[in-house]
Amino acid sequence: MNEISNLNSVGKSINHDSALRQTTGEAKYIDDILTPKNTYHLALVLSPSPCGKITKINKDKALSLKGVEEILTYKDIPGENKIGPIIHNEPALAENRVAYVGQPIAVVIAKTHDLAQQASKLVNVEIVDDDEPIYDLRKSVKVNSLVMPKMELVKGNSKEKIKNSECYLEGEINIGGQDHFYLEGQIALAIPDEEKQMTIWSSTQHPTEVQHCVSNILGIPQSKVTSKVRRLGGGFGGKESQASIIASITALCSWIIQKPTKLRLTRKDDMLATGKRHDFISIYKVGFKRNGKIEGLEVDLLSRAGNVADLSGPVMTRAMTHIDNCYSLKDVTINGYCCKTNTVSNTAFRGFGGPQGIITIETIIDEISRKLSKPIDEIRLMNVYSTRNGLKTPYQQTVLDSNRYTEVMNEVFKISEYSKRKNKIKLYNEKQELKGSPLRKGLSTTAIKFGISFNKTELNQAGALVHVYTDGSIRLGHGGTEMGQGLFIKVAQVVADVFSVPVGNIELASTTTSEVPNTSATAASSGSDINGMAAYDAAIKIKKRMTRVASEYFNVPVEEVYFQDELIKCRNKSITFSELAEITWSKRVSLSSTGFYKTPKINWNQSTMKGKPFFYFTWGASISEVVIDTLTGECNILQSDIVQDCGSSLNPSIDIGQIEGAFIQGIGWLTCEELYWNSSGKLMTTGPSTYKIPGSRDVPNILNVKLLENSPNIEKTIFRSKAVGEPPLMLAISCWLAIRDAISNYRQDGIVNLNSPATPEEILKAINY
Amino acid sequence: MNNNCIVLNNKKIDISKSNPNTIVLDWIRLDRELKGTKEGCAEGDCGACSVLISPVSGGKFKPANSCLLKLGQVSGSEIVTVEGLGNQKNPSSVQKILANLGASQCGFCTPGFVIAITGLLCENNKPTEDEIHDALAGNLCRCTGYRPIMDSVKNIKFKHNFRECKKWDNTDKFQGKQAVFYYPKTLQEAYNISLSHENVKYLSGGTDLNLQSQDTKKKLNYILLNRIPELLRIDEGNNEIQIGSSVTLEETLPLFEKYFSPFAEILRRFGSSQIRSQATIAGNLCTASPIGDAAPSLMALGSSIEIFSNNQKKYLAIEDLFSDYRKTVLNPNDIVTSINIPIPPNDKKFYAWKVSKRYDQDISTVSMAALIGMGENNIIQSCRICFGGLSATTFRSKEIENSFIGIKPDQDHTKILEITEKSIKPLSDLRGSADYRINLALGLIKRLLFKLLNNDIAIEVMKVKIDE
Ligand SMILES: Cc1cc2nc3c(=O)[nH]c(=O)nc-3n(C[C@H](O)[C@H](O)[C@H](O)COP(=O)(O)OP(=O)(O)OC[C@H]3O[C@@H](n4cnc5c(N)ncnc54)[C@H](O)[C@@H]3O)c2cc1C
Ligand code: FES
Ligand code: FES
Repeated sequence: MNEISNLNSVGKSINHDSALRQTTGEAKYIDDILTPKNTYHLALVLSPSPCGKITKINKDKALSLKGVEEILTYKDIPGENKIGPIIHNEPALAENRVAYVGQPIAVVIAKTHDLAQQASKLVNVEIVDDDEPIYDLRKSVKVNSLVMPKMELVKGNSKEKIKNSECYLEGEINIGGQDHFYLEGQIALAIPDEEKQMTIWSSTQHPTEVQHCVSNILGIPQSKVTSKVRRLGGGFGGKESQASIIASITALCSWIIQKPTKLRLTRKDDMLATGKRHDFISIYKVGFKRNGKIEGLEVDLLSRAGNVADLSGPVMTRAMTHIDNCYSLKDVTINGYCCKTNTVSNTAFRGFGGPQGIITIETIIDEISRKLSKPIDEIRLMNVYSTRNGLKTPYQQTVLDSNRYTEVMNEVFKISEYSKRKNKIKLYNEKQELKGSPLRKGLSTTAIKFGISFNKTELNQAGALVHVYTDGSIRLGHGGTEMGQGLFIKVAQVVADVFSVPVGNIELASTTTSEVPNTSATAASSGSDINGMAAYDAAIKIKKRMTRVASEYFNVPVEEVYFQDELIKCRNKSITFSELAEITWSKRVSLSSTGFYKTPKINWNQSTMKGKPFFYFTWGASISEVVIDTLTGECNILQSDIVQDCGSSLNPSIDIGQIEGAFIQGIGWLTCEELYWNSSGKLMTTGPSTYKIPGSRDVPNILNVKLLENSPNIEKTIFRSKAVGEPPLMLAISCWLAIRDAISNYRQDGIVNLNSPATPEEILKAINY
Repeated sequence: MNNNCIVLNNKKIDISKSNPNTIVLDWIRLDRELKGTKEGCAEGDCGACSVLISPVSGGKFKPANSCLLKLGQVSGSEIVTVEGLGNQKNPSSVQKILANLGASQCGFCTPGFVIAITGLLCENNKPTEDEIHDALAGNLCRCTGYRPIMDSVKNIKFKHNFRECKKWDNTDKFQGKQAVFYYPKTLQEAYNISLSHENVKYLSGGTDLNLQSQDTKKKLNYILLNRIPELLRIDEGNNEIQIGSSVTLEETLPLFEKYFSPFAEILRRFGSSQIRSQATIAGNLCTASPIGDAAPSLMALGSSIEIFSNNQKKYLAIEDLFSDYRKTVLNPNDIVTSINIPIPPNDKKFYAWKVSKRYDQDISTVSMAALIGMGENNIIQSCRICFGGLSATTFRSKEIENSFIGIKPDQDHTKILEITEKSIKPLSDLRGSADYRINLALGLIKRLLFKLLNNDIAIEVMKVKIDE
């Protein structure tokens, strides 16, 4: 079917489709779309209290400003004040009670953005604090304040095994949350149409959910709502469910005044009102042999769900199904508590619980290695998935390509010159000690196995729409959203190769629910896997029809017709792609097709937490070296080496971009990004002046990234590629373990009591612990 | 009189009908409908809004945060936005290489990087790795992880065709309905405007003042100090350096590098190149933040400021300047005219360090500066030591200083630590707990003592190399 062609683009490093448009500033984001003249601007009125009853909303002062049109509350909602991706009962605007500082209560409609902002500060909401707010996760568990029932994943008999094992450790790891800090804040633009239709431009990873929520809040059929997005200025999970809240409120205002409205959150409002990565507390007990083999493991995972469930359940599920990481655990009990607290409802964030699960087991492995004074890599080998150690995960999926662990590990050992550097670091630390210098180095490794597919089976489907026009140009639409990750170019490469045309011939359409309906979020790293397949399906259908037309035209059997280099050939005859398009039209054969894909072989039982939730696993390994100052806690990441398994990469440079970006974001999560709430439950880090994401100097001085070579996916994914968006974020755990190593190299007593993020303050605390 | 104008992307635009209090970013995006410049934070920390600006007094284009500037500050300037550098048909070399090396993913940060990189390369055609970091510290990218951006800057063949801008504006104010920006040319003029108006504020770079919410009900009067030639001078004396109060931080760097390099190192981490091209030391001192970066070093060096007050010049030691949290002893009409810094004699050693959550473009948790005189046999003879982040104002204590005198750095120094610990009572906040701040103060003192003995050993983590 796919003849060798000079034009083949799959597997090549091709620039992001909008690269030059973006560097010249010509790429349009939602705030850049030229809006109709009569567009109104919105601002949210946010709750000043963490909990209590709303007794009065005083709008007069705000309404007295010239240019302020209306102030709406939940009472103005014609449909249902219910959104929420899983449990559909979460309010867009608070009703009688507030549940966190920053919760949207009302929305101001005004002539300009500034005016709306100014007016929103003048709306006075009276709240009676009649309840004790809960912030503490342990307290939540104690008083059973959970957003959903406790989850349990059990295999074997961990209690018994722990009791009888040779060695034992217990401990607790505090894992901080993380703000997405997409550079483009949340935004939506709603334009009402005739016949009660509504078009909504939303910076969303999930246009279909925006459509559903808007239809619900307005009380109109989904068919009347069109949700669109061309590109997002970053998403990272923060615009998976949260964008729907913003879009719904915008649509509501537009509906009421029957004029276009735009809601662009200021950075501060964005950070106050929308969810983040869940902070977790992991409490563990582990029994193991003297050789490091884990015998039994019990983990309680406590996550900060916030005021409502949102995606906390699936996030916890992924955390629980990633506690094993690369290790075969036979006797294990994992309890998941999604704690209901008086803080903003946390949500999806790149890795989606995986990072919290994996850092837990990686820290446990590190603790075991320090307890036994054995190298961490030796403990890993004792436990890693293998025919000897076992291949069944705690949730009963079989790990089919466990050899990839060895492959990525060996490769990263090689490129980093690991053993040589280990010795060098030992000498360095001895020298520092001798001099009385406060500096210490640390070095460590991490390997990651990450499951690809949404845990929830029904989400693993995708649609696409391909049109070929009579001049041979091709328009491609699919349900995936472009947020910088290069999804559009990857899918375009797939379609270009089907037709054997240059990738530049493929016109990329905005993601639109009226073109491709009922789609899933662009999330769980699955974007190119499922949309690539759906687009492939659509393109192949058209190609088959065109082939038939060509065979009639050439008067040869279909088997002899092939597409190559923008030509359709058979024997010694050929016509151009555009000629065939024209002929196909004249033969009255359709040049347009939808495509569909559902991920095969997967199933999941959420109540037993058993099944085969993941189509396949991706693997990666990383080694990092750090230096810390034991007087101040300052830290510098000197070098990181990364090997990532991308299967047969669709576009290596795009994949490397994902790996590097995710890795640095992981470093941020684990080192400098600290969310700070004051004692009254108010987030104090609400902008980049106080919330510090990594800058260019925080990148390891030396960063080597390599894709694992000759490693096609063992499953039939699109051109045997693998997903890449999330997994490399967790490779940053090598930096976290290296910091632990450096602390341990200073203390020399094996005790490392470190919390994440490892800010200078936390590092110094662990040094002096 | 001439109208207020701006040259935007080579085109002169009359802005006299606009509100001078408008944020330049809004003017560019909403009035001029140039959408390439983005808003990522509106507080000067992300760089998405960066534009190139030439000073009103003439000179080179420098990157600045358009979200922090008021229209009234840039009247008379030339501004270049990302659109002014190139377009898809005819991209600039920076735009081309960033596109080709995968340096733009979601692209929202990209125009800001294009501007910051262009600004850097205009100054410095072959920047080192560290110089690139210094120049890009004010630009955040959440997608790429920066590596392709760094590679672009290292591999670019850049030829810039920017002319130096000449001074062309002669207006003396920008009058709006809600605000007036005055452009006095002399101190006397500035002082008189201040005396004769209500609700007046002196404005230097505006990187502090423009972030504070102003009462917009009353008419605002801003007096711009950076158009007074006498405040723009730098005098390099034999014993003392005098920096005019309107000299930007960026402009002070070469001189500070020469005489007080630890201070220069701190200032290189001060904000970002965009901030440093606007911000002044005078503004930093007058804001009187206890975590301001200039005061500890200036105080340790024994600097003073010159003030224009009541039509005469006065001098004030920096240590007498702060009266309380964010308060100075100055009268509202007083103008700081210069900062005078003595050059330390050869027998004194000057050290300064800043500790922050993130190395670059972050406010310090605790900072320390010390001027130490070593006598014979390595005995400490004199000591001035100042801290930021430990109390309501920059902190200097005679008791702590005395505890240093007469000891050798490698002697038991528990006494110094005890006295220090006893004399400080820092607050807990999002930048660090009180405990941490105390430990940092003690840690920095230990670092100082180590450094006095091992001057050649780099002890800062950021200076450690992989091969050591
Ligand atoms: C993104 C960002 C990063 C920052 N990073 C740092 C940092 O790392 N370290 C740090 O210390 N600060 C930092 N700051 C704070 C700020 O940049 C500095 O305080 C700066 O030095 C202020 O100078 P300015 O010229 O902009 O002051 P302005 O904002 O112009 O003025 C500040 C105050 O001083 C008064 N004033 C100014 N000049 C005079 C004068 N000559 N005479 C009398 N009064 C005067 C003004 O009326 C005003 O009240 C940062 C700010 C931002 C926005
Ligand atoms: S918008 Fe972030 S620095 Fe101006
Ligand atoms: S490319 Fe998305 S923030 Fe830089």
